Amino acid sequence: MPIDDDLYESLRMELRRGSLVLAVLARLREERYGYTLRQALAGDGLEMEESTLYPLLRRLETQGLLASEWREEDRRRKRFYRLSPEGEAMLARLLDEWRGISASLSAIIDKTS
Amino acid sequence: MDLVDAYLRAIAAHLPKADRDDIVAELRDTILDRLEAREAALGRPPTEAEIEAELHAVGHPLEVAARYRRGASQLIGPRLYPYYLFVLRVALSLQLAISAIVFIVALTRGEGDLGHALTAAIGSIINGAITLVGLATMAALIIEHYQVRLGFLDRWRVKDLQVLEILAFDPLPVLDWVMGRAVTASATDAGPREPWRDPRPRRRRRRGPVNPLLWIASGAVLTLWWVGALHFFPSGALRDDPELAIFGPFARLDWAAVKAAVFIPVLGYGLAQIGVGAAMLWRPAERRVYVAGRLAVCLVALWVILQAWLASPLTPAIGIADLQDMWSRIEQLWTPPPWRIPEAVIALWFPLAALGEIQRVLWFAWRLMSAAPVPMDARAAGR
Repeated sequence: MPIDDDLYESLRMELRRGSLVLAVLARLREERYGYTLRQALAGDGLEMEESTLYPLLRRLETQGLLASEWREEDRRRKRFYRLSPEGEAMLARLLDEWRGISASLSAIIDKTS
Repeated sequence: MDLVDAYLRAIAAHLPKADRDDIVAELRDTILDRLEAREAALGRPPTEAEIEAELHAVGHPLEVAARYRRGASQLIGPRLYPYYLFVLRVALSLQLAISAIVFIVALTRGEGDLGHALTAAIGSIINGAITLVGLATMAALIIEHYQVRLGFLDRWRVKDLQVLEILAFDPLPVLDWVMGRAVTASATDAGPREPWRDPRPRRRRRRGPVNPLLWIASGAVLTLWWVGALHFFPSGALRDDPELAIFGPFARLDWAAVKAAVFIPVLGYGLAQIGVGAAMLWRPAERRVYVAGRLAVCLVALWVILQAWLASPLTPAIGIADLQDMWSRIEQLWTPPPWRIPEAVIALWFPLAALGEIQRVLWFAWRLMSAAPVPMDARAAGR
């Protein structure tokens, strides 16, 4: 059913969108640059397109949740990102919310299945 | 690295000025990382084609730049969209009503004939609709771009909402229906299969064949215009129009004689279109009726083309006697004087159009004879 595939894909994207922000913030408790961040996320089982990741990093930085600096590594200047103190606080709040949602969902699923 | 630089320059041109250098530097680093990973995997530097493929994977420059743009990334956002549609619906309904009233008044006061009044009404509906859609879109764009807060949208009361029920008419399904692509894309729709619809479930909606009513309408307009009942194109004034001088020999043609020469075939073409529409309405499930109708339309079209090209007062201006003649017509396309180009284009159009029509005739004839329910060919049907 090709139409169902399309529908699944769009629902899946919607479901993932918010959690990816969480994953990025959590992964940036350690300083990384884009390429290694992407590899780390892929290693965690969260493949993320460059086209999604880089604009997201920039947006999170303008929102004050990330700090960045240009530094030389492997003979090239790279932009390193790290969670800012504000980002740390935001991540804590979001994780609370995430755990809440997850607990509610588990309860609903256990009840109905 | 020329390719990467050219690619980055294309992106940079569309980035916000303030962050341009920063974003480009980061993108360059990302792309170089990609290329290095590729090189490591290949065991040799990537070829130009492979670099190109990597850049393709990153995305079209306009698309990449758009991801970094701040503010709305759509003309009309999901919050505003229902209001936008509603305003358009009200405005278009009013405009339709006004045009109808003007039309009726013009008729009852006996100003001009039916043809004139109808032409004026259709013209004002089309012009008005385009203007209204344009204005509404512009207004929505401004609201979206400047994030204008529309306070009155939040201050509604239930007892004022009756107006929404009166204007609940949704034009989109009508549009779908007229365009002949009503929910065929939905796999759950197990409605009756009409021969002009492809019965296979489709991933994407594609251009469907037009609705029977459009066949009838287009045939009727052509027929009425041809016999002189509609006057939206001043065919009598053709010869006196100085702008037509660029058409060289066409400016000196006796258009009345041309019309007389092709009068019967063009009339037949209009009537055949009406016939196809009527046949589709009469036997919606009968594939052969539809295919036979299409075949008839194509045959008449071929007649029109051949008659005008080979046996009308146009023939001396555009006729092509032999291959030598054909080649000199083709050469005319790029040799001065430029005002002979339209003449060459028209002269070359006729044989090409005739060939296209012959191909269609053969296609529909084959379809008529083959018993298998051949799915509709979108290209042949989209005429």
